[in-house]
Amino acid sequence: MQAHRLFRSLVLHIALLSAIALSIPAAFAGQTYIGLRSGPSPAFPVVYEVTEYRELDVIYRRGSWLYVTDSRSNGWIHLDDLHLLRKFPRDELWKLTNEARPGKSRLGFAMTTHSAYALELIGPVFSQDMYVRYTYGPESDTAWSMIDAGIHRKLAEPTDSLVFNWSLGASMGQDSDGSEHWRLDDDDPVWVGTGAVEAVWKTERYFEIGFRGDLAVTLDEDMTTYTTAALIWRMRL
Amino acid sequence: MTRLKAMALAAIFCGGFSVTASAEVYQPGMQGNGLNDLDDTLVQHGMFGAGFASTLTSNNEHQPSMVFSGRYFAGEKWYLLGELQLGTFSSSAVEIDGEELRAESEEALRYSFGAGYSLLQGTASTSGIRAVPWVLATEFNVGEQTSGDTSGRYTSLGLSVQFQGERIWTALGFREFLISDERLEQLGSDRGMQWDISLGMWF
Repeated sequence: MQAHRLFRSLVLHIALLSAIALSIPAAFAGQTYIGLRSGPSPAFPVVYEVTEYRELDVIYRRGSWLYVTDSRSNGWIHLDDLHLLRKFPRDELWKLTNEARPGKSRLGFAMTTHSAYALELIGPVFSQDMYVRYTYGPESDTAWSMIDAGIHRKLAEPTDSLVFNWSLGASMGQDSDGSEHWRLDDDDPVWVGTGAVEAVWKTERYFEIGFRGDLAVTLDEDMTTYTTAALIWRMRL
Repeated sequence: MTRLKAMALAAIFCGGFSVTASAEVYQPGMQGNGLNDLDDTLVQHGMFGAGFASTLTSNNEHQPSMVFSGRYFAGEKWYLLGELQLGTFSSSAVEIDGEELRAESEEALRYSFGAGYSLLQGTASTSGIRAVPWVLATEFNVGEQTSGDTSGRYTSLGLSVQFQGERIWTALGFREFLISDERLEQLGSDRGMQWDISLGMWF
């Protein structure tokens, strides 16, 4: 009877010790480490690691990256990884995520095959995307210009990063210093109808690069027509 | 009659309660979610700086100038770029067929806009204690350069190495450029190269 009791106690102790021994590595294996990088991009190396229970303060934000500190060391963390920090306040997380979200307006710059530059602004007006564009074409001692406004709409979005758009607008074309771009009899401005189709690649959260084909026709008797291609850089504001 | 009065009073009270109830309906325009009460986080939009540049235009001597630049972050790798450069363009006159095409001391003014793209990123450290991130970026610029009495379109493509400290940054740049100016074409000075060093802050 004594031997049986001793044996049962031994078995219990072995079972308990085994359970503890098994649980220790399991507990360590569950520990998550979050890497802080030396700069605001995944291309920068991880220079510091913190556990998920570490308290971090945000020093500043650049785009979707946050420069944080735990008062011992500093580093960059992406907004999408912030939820891994269990002690980071959820309301602050939401606020930061909201603030980093790009807006609907876009500011763009374009270079055309007619050696002209264009500056454009696209934004919602009464829940419809509209654009305003100023194009300037220097030609040695002369120059022409065009101010353009119209509707801008999505045609298709085959992938998350590629969008096809079309636009239709009305413009005022102007020759100056003797330019004959619009073939005007005098330097008075002329009405121009414009249409365009573009392919835009969303390279980054706030940045797009695209290619646009433009058609511009003067709304006068001559109906001077230009087709141009343009390379566009567009920033989401 | 008393019953009628009671019903009227009940209607008024019920109406009163219903007004109170409708006032408690969530109205997004009126009721905050509390996020605006949190402290605002500082945001880094870009970097501005000033520096020194040495420009070597073909058929010309090295010319010093000051460069002021601004870079606005458009994402992790892209940034928009604006530059203003002031300096000298010539230190000796050039005459062709008795006509002075270039005066002895001409000044140059350039403004340009463009974009930069980070090709390589890394971390530099000498002590192993402090690490400074660096970026090697390619930069494209388009603008206008005025020298003497003429001006023309300026186009450049170059590389910039930027060391990004917590409060300040420094950059070393190298570029090749073209200027579409008829007078400079006659002089054979419509292209060249430039190196520059800049120091700046974040904004």
